[in-house]
Amino acid sequence: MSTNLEPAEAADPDNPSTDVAPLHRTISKDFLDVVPEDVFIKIFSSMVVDEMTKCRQVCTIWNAIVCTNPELLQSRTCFYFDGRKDDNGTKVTSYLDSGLSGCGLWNTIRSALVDGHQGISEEQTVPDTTEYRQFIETGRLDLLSNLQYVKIHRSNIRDCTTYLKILDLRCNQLESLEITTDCNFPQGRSAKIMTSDLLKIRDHSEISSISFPGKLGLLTWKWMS
Amino acid sequence: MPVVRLQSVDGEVFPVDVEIARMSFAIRNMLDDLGVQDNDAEEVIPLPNVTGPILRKVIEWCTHHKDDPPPPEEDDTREKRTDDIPAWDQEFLRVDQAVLFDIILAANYLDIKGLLDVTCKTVANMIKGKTPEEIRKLFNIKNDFTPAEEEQIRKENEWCEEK
Repeated sequence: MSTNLEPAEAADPDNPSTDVAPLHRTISKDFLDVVPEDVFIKIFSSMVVDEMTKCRQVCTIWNAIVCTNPELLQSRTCFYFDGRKDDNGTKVTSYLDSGLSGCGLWNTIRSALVDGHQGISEEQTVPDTTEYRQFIETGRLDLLSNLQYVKIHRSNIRDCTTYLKILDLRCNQLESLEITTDCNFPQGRSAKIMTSDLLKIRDHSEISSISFPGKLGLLTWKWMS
Repeated sequence: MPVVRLQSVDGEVFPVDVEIARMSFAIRNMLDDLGVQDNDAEEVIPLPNVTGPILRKVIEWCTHHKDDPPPPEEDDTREKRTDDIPAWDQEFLRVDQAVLFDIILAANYLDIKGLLDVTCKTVANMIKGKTPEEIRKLFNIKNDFTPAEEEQIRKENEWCEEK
């Protein structure tokens, strides 16, 4: 082999050199300034979301990298409306008002059960809910305008309709919507939603598919682009 | 085998097989730009961003991996793993953090994708399972958040889930 590791001896290809004594030193305090952003992106991109969120908390530079690069949090996570941690929308609205990033970190929104209802009868009317009015009154819906993918999980039609109205109003960039419901969500109601609320969304957005898993199977609507 | 001579910032010169040197896309481009053919043995390529000891490590890695197939293209949809670092590379990268970051910087500057991949995965593995405070301590990073910012980010993370 003609490769010559001058002035050191040639390396043994089967045993990597670990003799780095001349290189021993502590890491520079300003290495954050020296390491290019691309390298940090590559490091963070191999992490799961939980690890990325920890890295956000390390320093302002890492926070900015994790939050602003579209290959990181924005493409790997979703904004999660979890009603079980919430008080029927107040906390969500408060977060949107005061959060550092608003919905800017995510292009996906996912919601979970807000209240304890487990399905409704088909005859029940669908009123505007407290959460919906809170969203409207705060004007924070503009933050949702860049959502591209939406997954909604609701146990009752009222909440489903609420969020569909929100999407109808603001999600002009929407490409895909998936709605999952509990098994007691009436199939007939699913069909009605598909033919009314969702078709309105279709009028206002670029959405190409809607999935609606129900107790009788998965209903999927797809439109040709 | 034709040889090219790589010169580090501190003046050390390393004769290297052209085939191995061309694993660096930066060097490959330099050779192509200079019109250096495989039989031009005496060309000296200055590498102003890499010290001698780090260049020696980089050459050692390239020499060991010279027969590897080309790394696959980036695929954002594929799950990225960090538990697939070969044993030889793990041993090779058992170095001080400062050295590890210098190798990363060299791999980035020289555009050696395989070496950059494996070093970045090594750093990711060092971070995994640690709290933000432990990460700061590990890399000697100053916490420059205000308490209010820190609290807000912590709250914001509560709304964040894997897709």
